[in-house]
Amino acid sequence: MIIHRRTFVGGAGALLLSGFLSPASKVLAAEKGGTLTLGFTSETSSMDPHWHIVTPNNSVSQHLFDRLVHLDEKQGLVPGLALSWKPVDDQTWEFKLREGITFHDGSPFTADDVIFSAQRAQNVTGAIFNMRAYLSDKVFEKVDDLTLLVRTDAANPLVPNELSTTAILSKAVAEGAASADFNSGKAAIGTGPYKYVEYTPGAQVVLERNDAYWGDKPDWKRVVIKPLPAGGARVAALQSRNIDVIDNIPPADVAHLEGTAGLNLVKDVANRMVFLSMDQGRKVSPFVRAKDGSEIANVFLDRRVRQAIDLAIDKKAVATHILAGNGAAASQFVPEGIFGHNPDIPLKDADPEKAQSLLAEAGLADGFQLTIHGPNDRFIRDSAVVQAIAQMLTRIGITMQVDTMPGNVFYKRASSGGPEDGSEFSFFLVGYSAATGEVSGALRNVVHSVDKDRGLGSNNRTRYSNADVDALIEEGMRTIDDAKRLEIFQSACAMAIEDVAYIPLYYPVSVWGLQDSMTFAGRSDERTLAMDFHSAR
Amino acid sequence: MLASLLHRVFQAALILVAMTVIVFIGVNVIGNPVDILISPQADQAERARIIAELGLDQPLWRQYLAFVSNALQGDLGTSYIFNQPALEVILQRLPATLELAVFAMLIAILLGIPLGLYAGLRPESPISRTIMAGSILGFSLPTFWVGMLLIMVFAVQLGWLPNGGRGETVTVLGTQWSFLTVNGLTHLFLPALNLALFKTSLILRLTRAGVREVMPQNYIRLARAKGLSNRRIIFVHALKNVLIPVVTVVGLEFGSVIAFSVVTETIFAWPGMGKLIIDSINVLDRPIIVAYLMIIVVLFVVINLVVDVAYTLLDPRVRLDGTKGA
Repeated sequence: MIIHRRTFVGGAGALLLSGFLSPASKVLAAEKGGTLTLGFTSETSSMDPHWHIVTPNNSVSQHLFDRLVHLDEKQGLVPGLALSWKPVDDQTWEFKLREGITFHDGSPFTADDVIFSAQRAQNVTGAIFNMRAYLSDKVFEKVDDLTLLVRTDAANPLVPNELSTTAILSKAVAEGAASADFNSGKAAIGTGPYKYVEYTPGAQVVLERNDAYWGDKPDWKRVVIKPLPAGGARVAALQSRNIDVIDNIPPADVAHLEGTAGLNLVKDVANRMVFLSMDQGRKVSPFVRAKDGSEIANVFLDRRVRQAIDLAIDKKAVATHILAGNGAAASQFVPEGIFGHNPDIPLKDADPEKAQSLLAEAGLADGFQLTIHGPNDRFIRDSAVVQAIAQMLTRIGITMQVDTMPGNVFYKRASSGGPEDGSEFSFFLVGYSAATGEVSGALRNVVHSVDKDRGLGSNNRTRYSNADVDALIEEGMRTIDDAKRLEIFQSACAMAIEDVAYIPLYYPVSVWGLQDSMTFAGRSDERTLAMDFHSAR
Repeated sequence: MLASLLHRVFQAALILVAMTVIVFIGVNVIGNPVDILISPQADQAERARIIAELGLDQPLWRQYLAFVSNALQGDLGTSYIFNQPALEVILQRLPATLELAVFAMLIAILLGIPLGLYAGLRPESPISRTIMAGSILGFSLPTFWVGMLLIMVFAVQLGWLPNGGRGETVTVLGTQWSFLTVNGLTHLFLPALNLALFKTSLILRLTRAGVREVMPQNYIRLARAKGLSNRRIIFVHALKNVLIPVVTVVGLEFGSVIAFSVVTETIFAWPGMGKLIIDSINVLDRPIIVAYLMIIVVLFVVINLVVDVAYTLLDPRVRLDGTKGA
């Protein structure tokens, strides 16, 4: 091959230019013992672990503070500051604490710190999303420095799960401390694998490894967490290698990032369920009308209509086409791997013909008018999902209207504001998450009949009520034995799904993007923790 | 002068009161923060307890009176999201927004006025035509798109500049500023440029129009007849008159760049206060919304005052008491 001078010079120029233009790679990108930079979608609003329990706050607080019981990546229980726990009787649990644990300031950890933390977690003034739901039924009793009794008002099998929510603070440091003291670092003294270095609201959180940590030592000496709210900018930050890990890859970017060299995507099904709720509390429902617009009886009271709607919706198509892999079709209230999942409940294929014949059986062969409501800024592509459902229901002869609105307007109207103190809507899209890592929350708050006095059915917006299901849920709630409880909850789920209490649609899939110099197994609670990422080199 | 100042303070107070009333009614109509923020595990009794603790069970007029009496003592409420006084949350983020806004306006002024002058003085030259065509792009390209493009080119492809966030800061007078460090400036450049694009085009076009209007006027001819140098005619006699509308627009744009640069701040992950207001509206964090808008009202009143003072310096016919001299 003869190389002409001009081609050679041109080629060299192009080479030079391409070298000049190629992305400047960061030298220190996530080496073992180096700095790990995480990009979160939302900023951490407070360093106070007992204030506002949302994902970005939980993720950060988990670095600094341990809990008595930890949840692994599938939300199974593993020992945290408690070495072991067991029920003593129906209303008492005994926790044995780890010995020789010290806080970041060197002071020893004892049962007093647990009792103090449980008190404080319930009494931060103005905390809307607080820990009372998990702690208010419990009385803590110190036996000795390393033994603790937890007494509950009624039999409660979920004591370890519920205690996994509450960060343990140092009593000596945090007594009387306000949230501002955590933000400044003064009170942000825990026993966790990382120590507080800096918190600049909206800009960054900096943490440094606690080399005296009792558990596995994380790979990274320093962790920097930055909020990167815009999806495209988050992806750009990952591609430019300024950030090692980002959460919530936008659906539109999943495909092209999967083909990008040097990056890995990790997906995991989240413990949340997005579902359709159908008005079953009223004789006449405001957004159910006959074809000519006249008032008709509430069609959702007929189980065949609920079944027809369930069968008409192609959940798999919603998950693959609209959510582009950021959702997994749901058959029940919790995904596989979460306590309470019933493997015998099948994910049904859509069957519009059968749906139509069910409608005909219910005397609605001519169809009816229905409005579907949903938020348009809370879930991934939520308004597109709502529209697709409307189209699928149009196919079986229901005249659909779609109405989506911002979440801040939607939730008030979905929860109250309607006739008979119910939802203002008849048929709508909402979500529910199993924060304690098992199904009982969904059963107790969403499926159980509304019972204000006993605090049951608090999220049962459409007033589903089935005495048999209620009885099973209540039985499960007082069954301490895990195997028995699992069986009871599984049959409660099967019964509620059979009755089409709700239509589970999909479980959101969390998608993380990371440099391929590290490994990560994914998590079902949507948290992003430096401890879970390991250097591959 | 003093009378007009008092008049303005009174006006501002009226606007403040009206604005808080509107926000209170507006937020109340939209929804209830407890519905959005509460734990899905919480039962009905807990929900009622929180609503009572936050005072949201009270009739709206009573909530408003409580707010006013606290506000008079300097307490604008505590954020539902940050658990900090609303004013503190906002002021923490003000410096970042302020330096971004100032830099963006500086870029816009330093580019816009000279280019506008050139285009106005030589309207037929090809360079002027290019400038004017370019300004149409500056007007019409959406900020979020240009922002993404800047990131893709300068951060991802070329790797010259950081993709977002605020750089290193130094503390001066108890506040953190990033424009005093080299690292901070590199972080500041792209978002400031993105914000400046639209403003540059605006200033450029205003300047050009002003120059075209002023140059044929009699006093310019007189100045030429007196034999003044071209430079003195343009930069003293013409520019002063050209700048009057420009100053108005710069003032207003400066205010809006501080208050509403949400898109740029979001794309570049700039820890300013623009994004704060959107997030707060999404979760109905009323204390932040009220405090934010109050600050913005005060800001605009102050900016307008400064603009008016600038008028009197540029145009001796304008007096602050509102009467025009001979």
